[in-house]
Formats: sequence, C-alpha cells, structure tokens
Amino acid sequence: MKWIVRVIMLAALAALLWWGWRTFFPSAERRVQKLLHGIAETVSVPAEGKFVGGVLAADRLKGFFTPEVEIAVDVPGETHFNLNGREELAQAYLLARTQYRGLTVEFFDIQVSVASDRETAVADLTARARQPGRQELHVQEMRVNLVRRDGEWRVQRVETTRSIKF
Amino acid sequence: MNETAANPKPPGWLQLVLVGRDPKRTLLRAGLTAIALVLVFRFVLLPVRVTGDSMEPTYRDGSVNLINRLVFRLREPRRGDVVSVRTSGLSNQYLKRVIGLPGETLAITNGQVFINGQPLAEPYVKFREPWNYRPVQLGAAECFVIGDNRGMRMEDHTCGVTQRRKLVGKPLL
Repeated sequence: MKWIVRVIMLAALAALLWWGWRTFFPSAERRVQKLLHGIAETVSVPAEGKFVGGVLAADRLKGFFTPEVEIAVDVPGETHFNLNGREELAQAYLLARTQYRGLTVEFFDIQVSVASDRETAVADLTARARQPGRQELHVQEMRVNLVRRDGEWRVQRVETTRSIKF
Repeated sequence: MNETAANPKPPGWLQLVLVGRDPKRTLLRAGLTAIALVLVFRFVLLPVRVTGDSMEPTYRDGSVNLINRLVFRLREPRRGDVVSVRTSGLSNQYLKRVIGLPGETLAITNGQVFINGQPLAEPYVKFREPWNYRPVQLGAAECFVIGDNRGMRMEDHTCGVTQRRKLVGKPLL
C-alpha cells in the first residue's frame, strides 16, 4: 500500500502547486473574470443601502471602466439606451440604486478571449439579476470589450447580445 | 491430525447489504459508477428545468428534462426538432423548435409560417396570434427557432435566427 500513499501525496502536492501558481500568478483570463465578478458585486444593491454607500459604490464602479466607456443596452420590447463615459455610468447607477433595493447581479458562463497582443480582450457572459421576493427578474447575454491600461484590465465597451436574433 | 485453519466467518446481512461480499470490489464498482454518472450527466444528458411558457403546451413551465447532447453530433437538425440553444454557456439555455433550415427563406404572415413561399403545417401549435415577421434568408450555418406558444405577444416571445453551433441538443422526454 505504500505506493498508493506516495501517489496520493504526490497528487496532493501537484494540486497544491497548481493552486498556488494560479492564485499568485493569475492568467489574463482569470484577471478579467475577477474584474467582471467585481463589477457584478459592486452593482448589486443592498436591501438597506445608504446614500453614502451608493456614492462609494459608484466611485468604486468607475474604477472598473475606462474614462471613455460605452454602454449600449438594447433589449427588444423592454429598453434601449446608451451611456457614454464613467460619469454618466455612475449617475445611472445611483438612479437605478434607488429603484432596485436588494438587487443581486451575477455574471456567469464568462468566456474570455484575450488577443494575441495581450492588451485587449473580449468576454461573452450571461448576466442574471434578482430581487428578493420576486421570481427571476432578468437574464441577459452581454459582450464586454476590455483593454489593458497601466497593467490593469478595464472595461471599454459593454453591449447586450442575443443568441437568438429577432 | 488437527484442523487449525478455520473457515472464514460468512459476512453478516448488514455487511452484505452495505458493502457486499467483497468490499474492495464494491468500492471499485461504486467508483466506476460515480465516474460514469458524472460523465453521462456532464457530457451526454444535461439536466434542465423549463422556465417560462414560450413552449406551451408541449413543455410546461417548471417541468424537468434531459438534453441529449450527442444527437446533433450524429446528424443535422431537422425541421420540427425541439432544440436547446446555448447562450454564453450552458447554465442558461432556450428551448425552441427549429422551423427554418440553412439556406431557406422564412416569413410569418398573420401567424402562418411560410418556408420558401410555401405554408408550413404546424400541428404542435395550439394557440396562434396573427404574428408577422419579415422574410429572412437564412445563412449556410443558421437556423430559425421559435416556441410553440404563438398565443402570446410576439414582443414577449424569443424567436429568430440562431447559429447552428449554438444548438446544444434535443430534449429526451
């Protein structure tokens, strides 16, 4: 049985090394995914949020985007709007915050493609928003274009997409 | 001559039920079964729960199903196939019916579907509103998918052109 113990120990050591490498030296894909999860967490609205909390969250939100960010939302039959720049985004967020108490936003199925120059990336994802006490509020596919500025990934453009085009 | 090697004691019924006659073999079988189940439910049969009423009355809101992911590896989608369409991944999919195939021209006039100008018989449609959809020419790798519930507002119904590669499989039940 000694060899089995050795194999298990070796596998555990390899797994530990692999986990350590991924944690301390994350790939560009993982950095982008972390940034997107950070955005989802920031735009989620606490049930009893204070105004100051909203301002801080809006300020934090701006840090995820480039100054010239473009947001293009087109959901047929529901809404259609564009936002240009971080300030407009922060204002829209503060307004939405007053209307959607307890809103939880999640991004899942994030597929990241990093360009060969490692300076730009595209992420396709599905966003899900829920409010407590309600059935699922909304599920929306999105495409996020990112750019690397001063070594950090920032969102440059967000647009809604559809797998089934009307 | 004395008999020193006593016969091994037969396993009790509890041990037989829990681990069988040979615990090592039982463990191996359990491990292989677990691996087989993980592989089947991850790569072949995808469990899904239907939400929404766009496929009524064929599939009810809240019903559960299994998506056969192998079927479109073995053959191309056919008209009338119910299919699941992936989004950016498999966590969220659309359940729809294929009515338009690659290369065809499709239009909907007063609720009647026309394929290359010919009306399409759709016995699965039980509720029908006078929907209209401009003629669309499907590309070589495109399909037109739509739900069976045509009794709802068209604006509330997800239908249209999708890429062939977005089709995950067919529901088993």
